[in-house]
Amino acid sequence: MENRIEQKMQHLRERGEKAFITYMTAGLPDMDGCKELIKIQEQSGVDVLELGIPFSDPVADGPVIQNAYYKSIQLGTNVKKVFALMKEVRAEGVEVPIIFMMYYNTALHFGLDKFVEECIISGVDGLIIPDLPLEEQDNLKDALEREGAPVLIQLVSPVSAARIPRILEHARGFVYCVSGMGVTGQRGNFHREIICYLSQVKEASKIPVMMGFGIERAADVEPMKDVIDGAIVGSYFIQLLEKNDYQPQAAADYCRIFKEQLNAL
Amino acid sequence: MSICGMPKLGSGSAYRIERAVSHMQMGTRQTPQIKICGITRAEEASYLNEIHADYAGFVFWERSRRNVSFAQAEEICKFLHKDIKRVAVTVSPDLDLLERIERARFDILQVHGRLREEVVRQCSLPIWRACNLQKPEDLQKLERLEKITGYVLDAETSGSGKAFDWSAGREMMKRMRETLFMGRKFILAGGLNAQNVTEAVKIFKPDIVDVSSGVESVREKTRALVREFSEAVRNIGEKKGERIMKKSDRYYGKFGGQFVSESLMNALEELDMAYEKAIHDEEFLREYDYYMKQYVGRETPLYLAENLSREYGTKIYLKREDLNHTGAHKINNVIGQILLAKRMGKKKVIAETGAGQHGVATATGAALFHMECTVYMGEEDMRRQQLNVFRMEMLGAKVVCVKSGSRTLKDATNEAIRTWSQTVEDTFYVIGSAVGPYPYPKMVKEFQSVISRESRKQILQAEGRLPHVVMACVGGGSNSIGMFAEFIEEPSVKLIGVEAAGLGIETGKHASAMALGKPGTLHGMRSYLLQNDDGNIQVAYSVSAGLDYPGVGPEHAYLKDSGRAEYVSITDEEALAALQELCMLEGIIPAIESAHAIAYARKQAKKMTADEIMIVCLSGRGDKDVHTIYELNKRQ
Repeated sequence: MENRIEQKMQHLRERGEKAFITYMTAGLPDMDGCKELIKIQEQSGVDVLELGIPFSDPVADGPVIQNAYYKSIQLGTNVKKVFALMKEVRAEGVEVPIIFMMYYNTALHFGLDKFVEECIISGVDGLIIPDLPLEEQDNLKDALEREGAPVLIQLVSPVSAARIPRILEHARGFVYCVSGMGVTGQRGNFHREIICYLSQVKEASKIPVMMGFGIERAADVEPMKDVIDGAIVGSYFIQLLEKNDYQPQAAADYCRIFKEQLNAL
Repeated sequence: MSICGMPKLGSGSAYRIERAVSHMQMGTRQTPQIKICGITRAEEASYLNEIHADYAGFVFWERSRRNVSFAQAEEICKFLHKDIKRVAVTVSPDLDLLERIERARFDILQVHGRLREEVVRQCSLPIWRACNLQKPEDLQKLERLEKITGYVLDAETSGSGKAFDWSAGREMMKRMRETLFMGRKFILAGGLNAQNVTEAVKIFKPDIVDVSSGVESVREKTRALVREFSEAVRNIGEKKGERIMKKSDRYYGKFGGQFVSESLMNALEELDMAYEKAIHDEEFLREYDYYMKQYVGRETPLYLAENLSREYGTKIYLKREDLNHTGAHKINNVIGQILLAKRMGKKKVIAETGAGQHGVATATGAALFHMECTVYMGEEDMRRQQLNVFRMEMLGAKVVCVKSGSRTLKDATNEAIRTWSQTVEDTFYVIGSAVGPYPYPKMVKEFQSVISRESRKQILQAEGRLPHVVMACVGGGSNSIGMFAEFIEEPSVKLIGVEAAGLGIETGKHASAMALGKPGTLHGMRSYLLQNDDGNIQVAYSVSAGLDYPGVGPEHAYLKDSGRAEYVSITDEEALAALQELCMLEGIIPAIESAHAIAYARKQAKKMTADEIMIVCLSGRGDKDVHTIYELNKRQ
């Protein structure tokens, strides 16, 4: 079975479309509400969905996601429950590729082999682990050497420079280009050399290049539309959900408009 | 200090030795360390530097053709890298020779021939005992003395260079291991060369390989042969490829590493390179030493606390880090890191702080070197340590109140890491404890090891012997790793780290990562951490703001697992009682953090005789805690 993310990338390439990727924290507003949000996003044009697994010490995240994690932990969300949720949504026919965005300790504590096993069973397609740089990935990569295992998405930063070729060497799915320095959720704070940096990645990469951090509207990525294959919206999407009391309709409207505008760029 | 008087900052080789021990314990194929013996010419020093040799042997025996004078040795050492340890190779040395060797600041005494009793008694250096083993029975002849930290296994005639019969090796090795306890090194010598060393290592599994004539051509060592030998040795453990080798540098056993976001990886590498360059630069070391002496006020006394000793029943020396400028050991590390920041051209520094001591030290250093300073501090800690907040502000620092999570050191560190990843291009992050991603634990240890370097010298002056026990409190573990550093390679010295048990380990309200913690990743490192069932980090608790951290430095985790150090814990109540006791008995108000170590000293003393010696690191003064204690007393 081919990986859902890679299938989707292939599909988008064939249609000449850019990918629209969202991020939301698992377990909010609650497990059922979260399930509804996943379904409505799939129907509203979201190509890949990131599900944040709440962690107590999210050092790569700004205040918006920190607070979302905190709330979700208070509600009792843990990775076990998110696996259960995944099984349900897959059983109910959801086929959108889903990525766990998480911190390494959560997987480590769960047990790497057991964690990968659960990912396969419950239909997790990819992992984004911001505190696991290339140099520390060996153990996890060993555990991921299995049929149907999720792909480990590689992150690149504006200061990665000479590290880029090494990071890209075995990268799969897509490359996640962080738009600025630091943490998630800093609107408009793109790195001063953003275009140059993205071009450099685009040139070196055999797989699609996505840009994330600090994006609110499709227009935000207009200047770099020629060097990226898609956009990721995280903190802003969470703020939008909160402001609208997690109403699925609000999410649907936002996603549909973003995807349309992205395609029109 | 090396014999040439070049300042030496800590002993970098401790890492390599610990790693070698770790490999041995895990039973994996290890890369032995390299000793090149019989150095006679200055240019040979550069051969050793190039291959990163671990030990250099100088022969002080007239009948050897490799014999050198002390003046010659000193000259050669000027060219030798400071991480290479100097071994004085002797045959049946007398007290006169021993004295000259000690005065010349050698690191190790290697003894062939007779080992005189008075030499053993007088010697303050670790001794490597050379033995001519031909048959298993020869093992019986080996002395088993505390000061012997290694055995050199050689052919019948020392230094003859004749390869001995290795077929008996396996059996002999097994017996040898059984008779040696952990921590002693096994050095294989006798006719080694690039061609036979791989096979020899496979049979004997030595910790160190010792070569002399095997790297000589026409009676002189040559660069090509030294390199060839080194490559043969390094290849032994390198079958898995270069990446694994590089990884071991960042790790202490399975602890350590760099669990940070991609945007920090280049910064960490840049930092490591700048740091390595700095500590091998005499100019930098001179500057560091200057500020340690003239600004911080080092060296600090090693004070024999007579009243406390009488009360507790053993000889207790207090290493008075509380007498440093700013009132704690934290400044040792801060000066080192800020000087480094200055060299790297950074004008802004950030820091996290728990009790506020590291924040005050950083604010102080930043003021001294005109840097912009921002300190992250948990809201809860700011409440407990108002005085230190005010101090930092007086010194011109900006104190940022961290209101996320537990609102203590853990969250202040999260916030500092977040800020650093945004500002890494122009900002230096001064980490205060022996935690964080590599190279921080290494740097902090190096800068704090001044504590044990002084202590070792002071205790030898005062007592003529090493202490039996060395003790320090452990939060993240900076004063303790500094206090342990120079004693790690002394198997006779017991190392004890004292964590905070808060209201009692059983209540769950404590900060003892070693007692109940499981390995995990936080703040860029893999180490023991307090975690719940979901892998979330638990809130640590202690009355002392400097100890309530849910993790511990990775080298401590390794020292615990390897059994080299013991970790215990002390409750709030015990610590506060000890604090009061030290006030009354010695007229010293210690920090609550340091009082944890004092409290355990009382317990440990019960297992010791009146003549045995314990050094306790008094990491900081208690002025900052007076308010906390006042509030506690009022409540009771």
